[in-house]
Formats: sequence, C-alpha cells, structure tokens
Amino acid sequence: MLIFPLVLAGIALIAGWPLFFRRWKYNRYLWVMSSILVVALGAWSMLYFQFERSYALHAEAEAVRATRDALESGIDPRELADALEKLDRSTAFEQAGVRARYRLWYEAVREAER
Amino acid sequence: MNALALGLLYLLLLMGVFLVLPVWVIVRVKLPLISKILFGFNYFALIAVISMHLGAVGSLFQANRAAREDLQVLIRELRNRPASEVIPALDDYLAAEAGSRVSLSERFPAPAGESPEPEPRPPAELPEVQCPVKSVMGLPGCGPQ
Repeated sequence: MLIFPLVLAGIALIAGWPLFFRRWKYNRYLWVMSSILVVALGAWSMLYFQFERSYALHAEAEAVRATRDALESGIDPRELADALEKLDRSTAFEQAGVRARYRLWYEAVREAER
Repeated sequence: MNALALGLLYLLLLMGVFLVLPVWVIVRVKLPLISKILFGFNYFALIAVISMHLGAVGSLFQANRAAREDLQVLIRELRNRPASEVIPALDDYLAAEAGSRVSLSERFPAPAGESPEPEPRPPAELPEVQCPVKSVMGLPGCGPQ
C-alpha cells in the first residue's frame, strides 16, 4: 500500500517542482518550463513506441525472410531447428527485447547457413 | 460479488488518490491562477503520459512473447515437416500486413497432448569448488564431510 503515496509523491514532484521556488519573482517561467518538460516526456514516449514498433516489425520481417531463404537454398531443416533451439535456450535470447530477439534469430539463421 | 465490490472499492480508492486529491490540493494551494492551471495541466498530462507509456511497454512485452512462441513453433515444425510445407507458411506470414498477421502458432497448432509451454531447462551444473577449510576449532568445514 506504500507504493501509492510514493508514486503520487513522485508524480507531484515531477509536475510541481516549481513550487519549491514560489518566492522567486520569475516563478511563472518555471511553470512554463515544467509544462514543456512534461510535454517533451510525452513526445519521447510516443516516438519511442513508434520507432521501437517499426524497427521490431522490420527485424521480424528480416528474420522470417532469412529463414525462408535458408530453407529455399536447401539447408537441412533439422540442422536449422538445432541452431534455433540453441538460440532459444541461450540467456541472451531470454533477456533480449523484441527487436534484439529477431536480430538474434536472423544471426542464428545466417550462422547455420554458413 | 465480493470480488466485484472489492474491485470497485479499489478503483474508487485509486481515483480518489490519483484524481480527486490532486484536484483538491491544486485548488487549495495559494498560487496565481496561471500557475495553478499549469500545475494541473502538468499533473494530469503526466498521469496520461505514464499510462500511455505503460500501455506501450505492455504491448512490446506481448510482441516479445509472441516472437518467442513463433520461434518455438518454427523449431517444432522444422523437425516434423519437410521444408516444402514450411516455406509457404513463411511466405504467407511475410505477405500479410502487420495488423492482420496470423502467427505461426495459429498456422501450426500444437498437436493434441503436447504442452504449449517449453520444457523446463535442466539446472546448470556448477563447477566443483575446492574448499581449503576442513574444520575450524572442531566445527565442520565446507568440504565433503
């Protein structure tokens, strides 16, 4: 239950830090700066998600296309399955984010092809 | 019924703490009107940004799980089917738009009786540590007794 007051205090601090400078005569400019900070945070969050989503889709297409091309070029499916299973059991794959996961998949296919 | 009442109470508590209490504080605090408006805007915009970001992170987390499931399905199908059957599925997967994509686990459902969860990984074998302490003042050491 302590988490709610802590989160509330954190949000209030980020949103209302100019309250600490109430006696300063240019205090209102600090409020404008604080608003710009919050809007910038929102813009960063939106851009982060859009870029991450777009890059992840691109990485996914690359990994699946590489797998398809490897099978088309005549690689033994069991050998490819072994390489991908080794990747699936690795710690790096376990801990990776979505984009890195597809990148590792792509690299594993390329490695098995060689 | 009890769970519903508890859920509603929890929601009411959350709204009270995160929406009503801040409004009360902002109205009561002694500030010029423009500062009050900006304080309110900052607080509620920040709440919206945090909720939006949590949603985005959740969505990426789901995509990450789907990536792993797709890889596991692909491994299984590569073992059980010839390449000529897997390639058309990958072609369909690539041709579909991102929003209307049918995942590999839907294309190749798990055979009956097979658990969709991966087998638990065997625990890593730790190297045997040579312990120099046999015993100290009659107490047992850390080596084999």
